[in-house]
Amino acid sequence: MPWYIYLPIAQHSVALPVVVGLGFVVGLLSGLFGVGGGFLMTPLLIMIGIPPTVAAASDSNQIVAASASGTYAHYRLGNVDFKMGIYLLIGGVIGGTGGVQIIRVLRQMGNADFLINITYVIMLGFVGAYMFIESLQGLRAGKSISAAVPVNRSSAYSRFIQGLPYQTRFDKSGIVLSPVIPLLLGGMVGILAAIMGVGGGFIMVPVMVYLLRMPMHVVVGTSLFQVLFTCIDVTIMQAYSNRTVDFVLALLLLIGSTFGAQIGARLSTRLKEDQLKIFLAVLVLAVMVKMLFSLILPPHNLLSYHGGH
Amino acid sequence: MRCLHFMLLLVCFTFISLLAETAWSTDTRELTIQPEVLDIGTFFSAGLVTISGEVLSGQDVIVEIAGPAANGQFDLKGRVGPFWMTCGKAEMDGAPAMYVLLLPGGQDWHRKASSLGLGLERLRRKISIQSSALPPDDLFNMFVDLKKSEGLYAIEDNAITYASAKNGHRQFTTAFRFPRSTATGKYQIKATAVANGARGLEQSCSFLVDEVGFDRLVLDLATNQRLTYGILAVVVALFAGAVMGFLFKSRGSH
Repeated sequence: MPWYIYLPIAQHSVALPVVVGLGFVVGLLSGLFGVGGGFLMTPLLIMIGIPPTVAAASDSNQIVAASASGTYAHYRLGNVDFKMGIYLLIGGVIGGTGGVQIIRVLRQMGNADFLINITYVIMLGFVGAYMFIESLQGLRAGKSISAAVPVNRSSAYSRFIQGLPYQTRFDKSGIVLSPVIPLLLGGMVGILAAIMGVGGGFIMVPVMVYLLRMPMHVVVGTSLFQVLFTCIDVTIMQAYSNRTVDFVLALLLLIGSTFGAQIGARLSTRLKEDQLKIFLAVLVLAVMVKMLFSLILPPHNLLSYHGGH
Repeated sequence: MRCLHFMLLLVCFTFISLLAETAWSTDTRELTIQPEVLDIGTFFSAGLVTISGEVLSGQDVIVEIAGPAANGQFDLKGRVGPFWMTCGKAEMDGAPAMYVLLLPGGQDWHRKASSLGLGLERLRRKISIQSSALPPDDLFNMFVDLKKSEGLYAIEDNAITYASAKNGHRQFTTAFRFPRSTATGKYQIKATAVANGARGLEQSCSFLVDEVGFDRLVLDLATNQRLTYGILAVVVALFAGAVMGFLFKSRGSH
């Protein structure tokens, strides 16, 4: 049985068990903790030698597959706020298209990889530290804080939100909001999707819950809907502008992550949530530290291929 | 006098015949490459290529493998605050994508090859390096280190094996494992006979490394039909997601 597979766009031969195993591990974590694996997948791909631009673009393609079935399932359950989703999507498409152009320009300058890495260091550092502190507080209090009620809006925040133009009612979510907010939020997630190759759910979900105060069941379905279409846009744009989408890599990751997610979801019912969260936080922080070191330690060779590879 | 002329004619004829025979025998010596074409397919990891040929008995041989020349652009990292990021550029014209020097064993062949004008010294003179950031020699050394780390540039000792001499010739065989990051294109293989510290006859041939099958199709599509490829990648992902969702009745994640 052949153990290596050649990735035609990455132009790199990789060990088949490593790539599928990577997908499996990230899927397992995704299933265990209920978080998206995108923010872990790209840095791990970079660590096994996939050029960062290809890793980010192919991960977006993988997320298309992963979020497609989820979106459909939530659509059937009536959990998708299409009106909110469309606003988020418009922002996401604009942001994603802008992000792809940022990558294209930075590739020409030779700093696309640096941007991807530094964005990851910041985001992983933020997410890892937040998860670690939250889980530690949960363990000390003897219960999980993850189910805490949304924070109260400050009056200044309320005034700001209510003062925005074009206040619109979102029936499915039961809120009144200016479309400017989902447009901006979608745009930000679109840029991150292009730069980092992530779906953006790990930013979108808490913002929808805590800032927009949308019901949780609608949040997940709407977030998946927006992530699906944003990643479709990013995949097509990356393939067209940067030629960095390796769909062979995406499919291999999908196979691994789907199996991993199923096992993770089953395991998660048997394990303590806060302990698992601390473990994930440590893992995220470890990946962040590894990436940070790669940016601040002198490289083995000052010369590298232009544009990542 | 007639006898002397006859003897001179005979000597000349013999000498010319010997020269012609030598020339004939070198002309017919060819390098044999196995396989004749190295295919990079879906399950390519590395490809072992065997090179064999003949030299005159008493001669040694040095084999060079040079990949297709490429005009490459490189980024040069420098320190900006606490970070290492791209601060300059370098252009290298005429650098082969791969360069391998296969040496016999038993003597100081690194030095010998260099004195014969083979190896990295010769490459250094061939490659044109343009950069204002660092001196060309420093950049060349970095370039070689970069290529060596990918297994694309190598100098291997004890890489030649000889069969016992027969009819004034001996057969040599060498092999090199083309690494997984091998570039496609036409490679030149050159065997240089070496005797008494001097270069002898050179035999050379070309050898093709080609991407084939599904990988070639994907690469061509991604290069020439970018939009179609992007849409296809999305369609395949949606289909794969639907199949996986059906198999596992997944709630999905992102």
